[in-house]
Amino acid sequence: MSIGIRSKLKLISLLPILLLLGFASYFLYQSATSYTNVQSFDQKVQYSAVVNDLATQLAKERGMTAIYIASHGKRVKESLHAQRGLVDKKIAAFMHYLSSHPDIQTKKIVRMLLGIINQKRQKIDSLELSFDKAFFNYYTVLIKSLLDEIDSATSTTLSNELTNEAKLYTTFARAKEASGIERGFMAYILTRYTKMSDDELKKWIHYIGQADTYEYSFVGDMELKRKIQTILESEDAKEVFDELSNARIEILHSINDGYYTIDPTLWFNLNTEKISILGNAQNVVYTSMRAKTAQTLQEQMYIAVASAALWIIALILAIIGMIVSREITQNIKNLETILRNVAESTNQKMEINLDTPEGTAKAYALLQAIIDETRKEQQRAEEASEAKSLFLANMSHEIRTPLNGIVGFTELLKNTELKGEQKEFVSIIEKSSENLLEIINNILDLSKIESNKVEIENIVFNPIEEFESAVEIYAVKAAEKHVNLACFIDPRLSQPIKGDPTKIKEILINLMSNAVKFTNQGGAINVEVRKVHASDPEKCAISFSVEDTGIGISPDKKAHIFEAFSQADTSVTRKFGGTGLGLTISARYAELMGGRLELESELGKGTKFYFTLEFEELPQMNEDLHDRFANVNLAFFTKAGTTKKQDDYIKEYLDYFGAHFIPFTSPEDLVKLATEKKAQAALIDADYASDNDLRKMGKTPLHCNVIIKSTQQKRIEALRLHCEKIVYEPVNVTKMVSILKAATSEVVKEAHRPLLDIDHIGFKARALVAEDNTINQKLIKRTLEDLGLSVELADNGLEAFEKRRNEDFDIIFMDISMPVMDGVEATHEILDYEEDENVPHIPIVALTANALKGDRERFLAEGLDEYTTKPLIREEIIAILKKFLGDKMYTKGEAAAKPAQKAAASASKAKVPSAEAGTSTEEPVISFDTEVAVAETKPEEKRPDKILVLKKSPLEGKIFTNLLRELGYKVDLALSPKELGDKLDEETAIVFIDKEAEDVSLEALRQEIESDAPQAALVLMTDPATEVSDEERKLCDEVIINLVNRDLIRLIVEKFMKKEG
Amino acid sequence: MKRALPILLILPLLLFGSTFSDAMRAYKSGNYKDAKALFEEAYEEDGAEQAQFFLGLMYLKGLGVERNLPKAKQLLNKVVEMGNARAKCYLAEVYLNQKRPDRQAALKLLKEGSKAGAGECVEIAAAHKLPL
Repeated sequence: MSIGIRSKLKLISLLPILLLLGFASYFLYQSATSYTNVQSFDQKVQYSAVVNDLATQLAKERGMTAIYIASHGKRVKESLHAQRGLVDKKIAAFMHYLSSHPDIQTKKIVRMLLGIINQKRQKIDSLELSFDKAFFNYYTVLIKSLLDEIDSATSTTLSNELTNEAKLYTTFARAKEASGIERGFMAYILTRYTKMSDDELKKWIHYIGQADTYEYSFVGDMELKRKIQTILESEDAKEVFDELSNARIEILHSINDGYYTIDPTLWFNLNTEKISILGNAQNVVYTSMRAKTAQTLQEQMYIAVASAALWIIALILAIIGMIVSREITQNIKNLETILRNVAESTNQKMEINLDTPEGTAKAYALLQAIIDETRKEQQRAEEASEAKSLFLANMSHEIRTPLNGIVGFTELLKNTELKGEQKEFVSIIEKSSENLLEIINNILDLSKIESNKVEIENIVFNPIEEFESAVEIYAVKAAEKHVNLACFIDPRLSQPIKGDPTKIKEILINLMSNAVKFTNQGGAINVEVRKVHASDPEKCAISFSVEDTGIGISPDKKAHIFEAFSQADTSVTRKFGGTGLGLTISARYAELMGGRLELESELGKGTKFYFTLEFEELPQMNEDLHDRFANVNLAFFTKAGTTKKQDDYIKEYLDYFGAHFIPFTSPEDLVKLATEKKAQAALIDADYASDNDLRKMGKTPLHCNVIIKSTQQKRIEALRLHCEKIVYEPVNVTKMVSILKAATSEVVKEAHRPLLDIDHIGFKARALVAEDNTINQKLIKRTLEDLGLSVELADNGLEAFEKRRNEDFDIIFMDISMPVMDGVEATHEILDYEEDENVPHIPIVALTANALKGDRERFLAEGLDEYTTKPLIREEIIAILKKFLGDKMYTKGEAAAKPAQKAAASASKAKVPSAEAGTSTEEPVISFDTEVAVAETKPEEKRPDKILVLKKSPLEGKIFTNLLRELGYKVDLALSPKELGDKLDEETAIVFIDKEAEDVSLEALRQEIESDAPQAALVLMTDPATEVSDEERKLCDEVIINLVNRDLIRLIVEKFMKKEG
Repeated sequence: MKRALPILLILPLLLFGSTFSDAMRAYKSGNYKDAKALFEEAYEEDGAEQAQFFLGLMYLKGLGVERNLPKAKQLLNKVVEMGNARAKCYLAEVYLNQKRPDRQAALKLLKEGSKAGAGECVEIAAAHKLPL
């Protein structure tokens, strides 16, 4: 039979304790027994003392009785009487002792003999009893029985020593008794004074032997031995013993004639003396015994107490052990119950019994099964989550594709000739589909936030540039609604910072979208981005705020404003549209970036949303323009009674740049300022000035800049102003800087150009479009054809690849998800073909409905050159075309294509800012090309400003060239080292050369530069993996890593331009 | 004190013992004059009662002293009372030898003495022709 685990546990926990308890109990019992034994022995010793006392006194009485009988009652009558009284007292004490110690069993004979003592005494008194009968037959028998009592009482086995001492005690008692008998008997003989009979002599000899037997050498206790020796061998005792033996000899001498020479009284006293000495010795033994028993008692007491303590401890431990084992058992039971429940809940019919090894193994198996199950469930949950993500992506794709059609064709439809009502319907369709698109995007964003899929990027960006572009997006809408949009972006933010510009812009766009939505005509929206004091000196804190004069939010709605789907009022949703998710998303984004979106609002007066974020600021890279324009005096037209927040912002900008702000109120004042040369430039807000005034002021001989809303463009165009710059509201840092820069140049009134806009841009190029969806095909085709491109269609990737092989195109638009061969594969094929055949690369632009994070990076990594989402946005397409086909661009309606594509593109952006942030990085100012202006104003100082580029592939060269052009530099691309050599002239400032470019000899190039363009700097671009030798380094002015980084390039270019200048 | 007590008791005992013994030795050697003085000394100073027995005996027999039966009778009577059986025999002799002999009392004493083992009684009874 096997013992259960629980029983084993109990056994293990309790066995030692029980053993301990057993031992303790045994010791306790032992010590208790010993104690009682010793105690009873002690009692018996005491009893013996009482008996001994009685025997001693009885012996005395016997002796006296002997004399009494011998003298026929004539002598010692009084002494005997007194002695009898003493004996009676002793008997009473003995009896009392017996009655108080009922456990002591006395021999019957003792009681019997004591009972008849008075009877005997009477007979003695009346001399009826002979000496022999009284002396031997009564008294001696009685005393002997008492001595036997002592003997039996003190016989013990407690310890050797005690046994010996007890033996000694009785030895002394017996010696005393024998001496007593000798004393009495011989006193009788000596008194009688006759010859002793033979019997009497025999008796006497017999008692002499007994009376002198008191051996004590066997006693172990040296102290006791010494004491006894002191008593028995003292001078006095020795004398008594000697005297006694002399007396005996004397008696023996006179035994024949009976004339004893010893007097009976003398004899009696001598023997009494001897008995007393023996009694003393006996007392010493008694004291020693008592002391020993007392000590043993104490020892036993200690042992008993110790064992009792041990026993109690063992008992307590046993109880604790029981409780603990019960608790453990209970725990195991609970565990069993839980496991049983678990087993039931997992529908596994199994009996859990943790008391057996099999049961435990089963329980472990069950737990393992549950863990596995949980893991599987987790996996399933992860799979489900993945499926959800996939579903969302697919939904996004599936919904966007038809929506594409709606949005795209609605736009096309809008541009056809429509009757009045139809136009309205189309615009409603357009709005609705735009709303739907926005809602889908918002829901997607929110779901991404909710599933923690959103990652906050940490990239370097230029704050002024990025934030300006965000604000620019709503410039048109605000203008259309006749809402004053003012923007202040702190000019101190000239250094790049690290953060997530996309998210911040999204927040700003959301807030502005709300502001525009809820602000009525004539209202104002002020966007402020200011550098504030940061808690960490290493960092840079920026506060963002968007303030409007809209309908406001009631205090009770404020609390829920950032919760999902909780627009201030459901009626609001109906009136203004939108999902109300924008604020939720913005608040979450702000939170993710370590900020907190807050608001101040008053019902009917407006709302201010604001938040502050901290960024890491990078070391100085851009030129700070602080106080750079101290020589500029800017006249600003003001109108009494009307003020816009923008005026204050302009003043603040001018203060920062060090320019002087001179307000004036009439065109006459301006003329005066101009003639007195008190101002170099004027800034006029079209909202303040009438057409007449504008016309007058435009003719004033200074740099005249007009601020207009984009909706006022027609009005200004109609005026045909002699204006240098038309600045679109809102004025921002970049626009201000450009105004100020222009103000330092000469006024050229005649150089007035017609305005360019997006409708007039065209590209003379061939495009290949790979797209499976016919609706999209048509849409893209139409859009591109509108831009002047000739379009070739391909239904899938394979077809696209075939067409690319057989024909030549300027650009390819590649849908990503296509049957037969998808966009990425097709791109790979085309790239391989181009490499194999060594034909120039045709830029490939990805088209996708998957607007998910990371797509762009992924597609660019796959070898695609650009990326755009469907539905196609015209502005974005133009930007892309301009990027790759800048040289093929022309302006419609102009006889000759002027080199003003850039300005045109910028203008187009300013007019219709794209919803896609990040594309409007260029100056949204219509102006003369800066370089042209510079060239025209300072022709005598022809500084070298040309940049020559030689890259390893034409495409890279194109991209790099475009980048430099975007940065505002004059660039020329060389396709071979030879061409590069030809192009070198005194205007060349910098030569960028790729280390991997074919047939390049740095030494030869260096020589050429020395001879043809000694002022030019040579910059070598290398891959990070390539080693650059010291010699190569010596030949070059600078070695940089071949990465297209705008800031780096600008830094390099500025460095050498400045050096040269 | 406790040690002193037995010494005080023992000292006279030893003195007495030697006086009585010396007297006995003088008596047995026939030096009755010294014996009488020693017995008297033993009785008077040491309280040795048996000394009276010998003094009585010496007065009865006229040993070292003039025969004096009344004195002998007085002394022996004392010793008889003390329990000396032998003295009874000699007291009986005093009764038999006095001026008015008391044979009845003598016979009783002789009987008692012989019963206690005193051989002298038998001798005296035989000398005086008394049946025991």
